[in-house]
Amino acid sequence: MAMQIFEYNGSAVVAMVGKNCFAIASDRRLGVQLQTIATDFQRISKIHDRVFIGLSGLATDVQTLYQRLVFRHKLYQLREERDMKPETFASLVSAILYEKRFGPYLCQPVIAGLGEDDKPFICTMDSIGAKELAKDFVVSGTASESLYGACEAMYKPDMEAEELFETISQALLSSVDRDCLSGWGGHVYVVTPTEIKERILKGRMD
Amino acid sequence: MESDHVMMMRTTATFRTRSCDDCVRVRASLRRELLCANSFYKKSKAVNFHYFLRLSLPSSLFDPYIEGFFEVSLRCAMGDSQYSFSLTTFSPSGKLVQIEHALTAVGSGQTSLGIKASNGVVIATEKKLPSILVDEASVQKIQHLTPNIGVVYSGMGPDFRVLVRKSRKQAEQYNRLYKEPIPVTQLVRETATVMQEFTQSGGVRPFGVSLLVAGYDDKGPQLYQVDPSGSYFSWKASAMGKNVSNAKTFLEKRYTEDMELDDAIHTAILTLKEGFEGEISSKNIEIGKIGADKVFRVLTPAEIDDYLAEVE
Repeated sequence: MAMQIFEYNGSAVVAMVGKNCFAIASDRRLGVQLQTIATDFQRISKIHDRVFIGLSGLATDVQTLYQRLVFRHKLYQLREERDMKPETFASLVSAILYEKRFGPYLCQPVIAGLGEDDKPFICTMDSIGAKELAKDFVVSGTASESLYGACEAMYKPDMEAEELFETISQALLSSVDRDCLSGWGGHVYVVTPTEIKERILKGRMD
Repeated sequence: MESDHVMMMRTTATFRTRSCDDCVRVRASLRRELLCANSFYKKSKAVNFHYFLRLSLPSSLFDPYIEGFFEVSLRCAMGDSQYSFSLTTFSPSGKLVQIEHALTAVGSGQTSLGIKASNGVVIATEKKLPSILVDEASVQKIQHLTPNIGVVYSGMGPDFRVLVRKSRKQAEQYNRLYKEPIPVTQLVRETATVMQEFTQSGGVRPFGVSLLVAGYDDKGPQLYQVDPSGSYFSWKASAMGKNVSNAKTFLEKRYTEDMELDDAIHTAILTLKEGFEGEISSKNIEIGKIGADKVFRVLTPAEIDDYLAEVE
């Protein structure tokens, strides 16, 4: 059996745009190929109250890249006395990934944030920093093909926070059920200008 | 007396030398214990990228029970051969005399000033040319650093050119990384850092210019002064150069918090006129402004003439 490095740990991350809000969700499984190691692995991290990043791919790179990005953002906050806009943050992630063009971080980030005037912003990029902006949803991970299908079918523009949560949860759970390498529940953040709601989903625990 | 051993050692070194032509600085250590540092050796002929060095070491080190190895690292003397130390050194009274002299150089330069209005910033300078034969259209003292940040100076023109070049590069690097125009404060800080580096490096002198940086970004209109020491201040209105004390007194009297950009330009012209030797005209002053449109522009001679007429 050939080992695919992007499929070593298994992951599923999705982000969706709503009306002045966004939702970002991931699965919780951490595996070593067919063996499950942990069922509470954190793939989505908060950069600041209005910018979240979900990283799929090799778990070690997920953690290291997250630490590097937090470092850069903290210095930015200290120097510029303000938080990074999501578009700026996406450009920074893209630059950091491209620095390692010939020995890349083996992860695909999904960035979601609220920009100026509370306008939601989402984007994804490949492991060497090719940015892809989208107006509706972005996906990444081993379950990405199922996620594309589920999101396409279930997504509606301008959903409110509660409806967005239902939609993204259904899309995530149905997609990871079809992927053996991701699953063991879901972790969903729904972010509006006033609050961040974090919820754990219980799906097929396998 | 124990005789000292002489060892022939072969070691590889990769380093870039700038202007140290004849010698390399050698630092030798045994298991991290420093044997010699800062010994200068003439470079022997390189053979297949290896440098042969002769080192004298005390024989006590050749105890048969000591294990380990000699590590010789070659470090090239940075900067010009004799000047790896800074020329800007403290005086007994705690001052950096070179910086004081740099400020004197600034103080004998042509007057320049800046005023921050409620909806923009204006910077202006005298443009006294050494002779009437100089083509004044080719002389540009006010420069862009980015489309929304401009700068003017008092002091040495060539130093100004170098700083403008470095600042432009830093602004563009920021833009390339974040895809966002650099905030004025960040650019001023980076420029000031460069100026400070030249007061604490080997073989270099401080810059003989003070800069007035005018910009408009998300925080609104801003005016900063940067000195040769690397310190920077945000000003509502400031002046530098020959006529600084008269100009500042005049500005203190004339400045109001709710000034608009056009008023500020008039005040700037009047301030320049205060200490001006000879007839003021659009050919011997330069004015740059930036408004709420966030575009920095140097005024054309025709526009300056219009403002001069309004002021008369």
